[in-house]
Amino acid sequence: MNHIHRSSIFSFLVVPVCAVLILFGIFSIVWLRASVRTAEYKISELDRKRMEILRDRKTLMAEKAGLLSIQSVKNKGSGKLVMVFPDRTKVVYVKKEGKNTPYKASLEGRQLSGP
Amino acid sequence: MKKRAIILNTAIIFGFVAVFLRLVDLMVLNHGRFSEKAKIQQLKQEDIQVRRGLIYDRRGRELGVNLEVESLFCDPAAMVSPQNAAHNVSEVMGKKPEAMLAKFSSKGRFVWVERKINHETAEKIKKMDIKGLGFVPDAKRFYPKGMLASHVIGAVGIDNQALEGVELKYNKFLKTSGGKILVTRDARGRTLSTGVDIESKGNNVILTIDEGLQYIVEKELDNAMAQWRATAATVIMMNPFTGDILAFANRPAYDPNSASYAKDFEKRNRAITDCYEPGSTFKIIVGSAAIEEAIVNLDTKFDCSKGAVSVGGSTIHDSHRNGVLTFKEVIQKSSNVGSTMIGMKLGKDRVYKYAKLFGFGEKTGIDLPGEVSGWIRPPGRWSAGSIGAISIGQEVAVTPLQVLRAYSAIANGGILVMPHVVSEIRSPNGVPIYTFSPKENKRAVSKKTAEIFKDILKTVAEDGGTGKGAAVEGNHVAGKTGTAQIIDPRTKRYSKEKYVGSFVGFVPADNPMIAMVVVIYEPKGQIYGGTVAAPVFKEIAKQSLSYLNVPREDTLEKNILVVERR
Repeated sequence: MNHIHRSSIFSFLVVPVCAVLILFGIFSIVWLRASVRTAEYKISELDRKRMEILRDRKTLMAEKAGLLSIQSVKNKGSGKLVMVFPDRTKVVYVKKEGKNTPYKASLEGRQLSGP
Repeated sequence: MKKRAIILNTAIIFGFVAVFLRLVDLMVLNHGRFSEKAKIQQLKQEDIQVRRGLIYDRRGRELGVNLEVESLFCDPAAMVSPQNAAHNVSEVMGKKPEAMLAKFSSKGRFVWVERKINHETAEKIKKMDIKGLGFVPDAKRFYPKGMLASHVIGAVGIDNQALEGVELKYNKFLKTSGGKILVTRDARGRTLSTGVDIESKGNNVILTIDEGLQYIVEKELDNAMAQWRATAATVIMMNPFTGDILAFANRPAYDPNSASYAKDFEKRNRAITDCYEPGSTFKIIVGSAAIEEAIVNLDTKFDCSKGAVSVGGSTIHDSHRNGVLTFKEVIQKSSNVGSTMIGMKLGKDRVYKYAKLFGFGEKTGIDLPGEVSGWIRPPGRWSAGSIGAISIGQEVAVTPLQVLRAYSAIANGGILVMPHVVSEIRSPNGVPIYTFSPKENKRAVSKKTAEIFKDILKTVAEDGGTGKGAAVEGNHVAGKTGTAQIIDPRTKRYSKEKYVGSFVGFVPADNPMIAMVVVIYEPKGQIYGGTVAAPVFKEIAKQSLSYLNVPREDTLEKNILVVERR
């Protein structure tokens, strides 16, 4: 009798549990697919923004290159700032060879950057 | 009640069966057809955007970059009101409405309206939402330094196809292949990310050119052009030991940003494509050959007192009578008579041999398009007077670069280097894929001969020399002046008014950092290389040595103590 009672409880539970599991599975799949699609939209939007930023970066790089050209710097320096190119006869090179050593100056410059 | 339930059940079962059958139709029977249809709707083919590699100078400063722009096209058949559209678009773009209307009214389904328009203008047109207009992303090559080094960098056309210079010579590295990519889109046409970069970049090219030196050269070249009202001019600066071209400029020049408007004579890279008779700068051949062959020593005397010498029926003159000159003085004072005598002592075979050893009559191999070899006839085709003419730089045709390479051989101890403008090519990720490595450098003359001739060339820029105007305060200059007549194309004879003045040399003479040739074509008022070209050399050398922090040789003070550290 007890055995029959237990069996009927099990058969009573199995259907709703299976239904819930199937529904949960379907929902999970749909939810997962929807999430992936949403992520794709988000990435796509980020890609678009990235391309815009890259475009601006390229424009800014070109502008920077123009502004930092020797000609531009020279024009600005010699115009507004009244600067001149260094005259080798008037340049004194100041050196310090060690932390606790005295400063030294020379008319003979260290070659900083050869061709 | 039971009957109703049976009907309901039957209807539900039929409904499910109908759905099932439709699913079987969609997913099994006609799967292929519907799948293809869905692909056509959902997948879109897009071009991978191709971007040329960038061009940098030797210190990494940008000389050639890309700008992101858009190109506007129209589908005339889809346009609702071409007149209104033409009016509105032309207003934004600052163009004539008639020209715009002609494009909007033309036949066909695709017409370019305007190529490479900037982002702001494109956005304004997009906001108008005109049916039949569309945009394609595009790239525009931009040279931020304008005319600077235009003959080295070159230019590209409207479709970014290489036209000149490094852009052309290294096109296979700079350009990249495009291709297509499939992107998914939804019902509204919004594309979904593929996770793949839709931009393909070419390799970056690093030049040997230094923007700072190039600027100095071009500035002084412009000054010289204005001062001497010359028709053209060329300056090339090179590291005499490595062949690295540090600066390379011609006048007239052009702005590569608007290369399509440039005239042919502005685009001509005359430093390597135009030949001229070198005049006295060619005396390096007879001078160094005579030392190498031990025909003379520094004190061998030549009687130039008559101011003229007769060779094969023609007479060669000095500009003024020099008296008796030593071998050293013949070069220092650039005596035509003395040089002819040396040439006659050498004989035509040896003169020809050394001209070839110094690389004349053959291409230097520089990595720029259009180089010519110049010419020097083999001795068998010389006339009786050729030995005199060739000894003083006539009857030969050379390029400025060939002359510079020959003098660089004297500067570096006798080695003929290979000039080049590209030092390295790197992938977009920065990985080196090509580094310049010279082929076996040929020896022109022995180190001893080069050293002796270098000492002679030093006297040219000193008191009594023809190139005194090239002397730089603080450092010794070694070099040679050249003045050559140009053949008048009308008379086929040497013109009495048209000359080429040049100076070629290197500095500091004993430890050369730069070798440079200056050529001024058809200067007005003065003609001599020592007057028109040597001062240009001086100005450029003075500023360049300062730029490169090359120490003066005349400073005796070393490490003077000025401040005691506390």
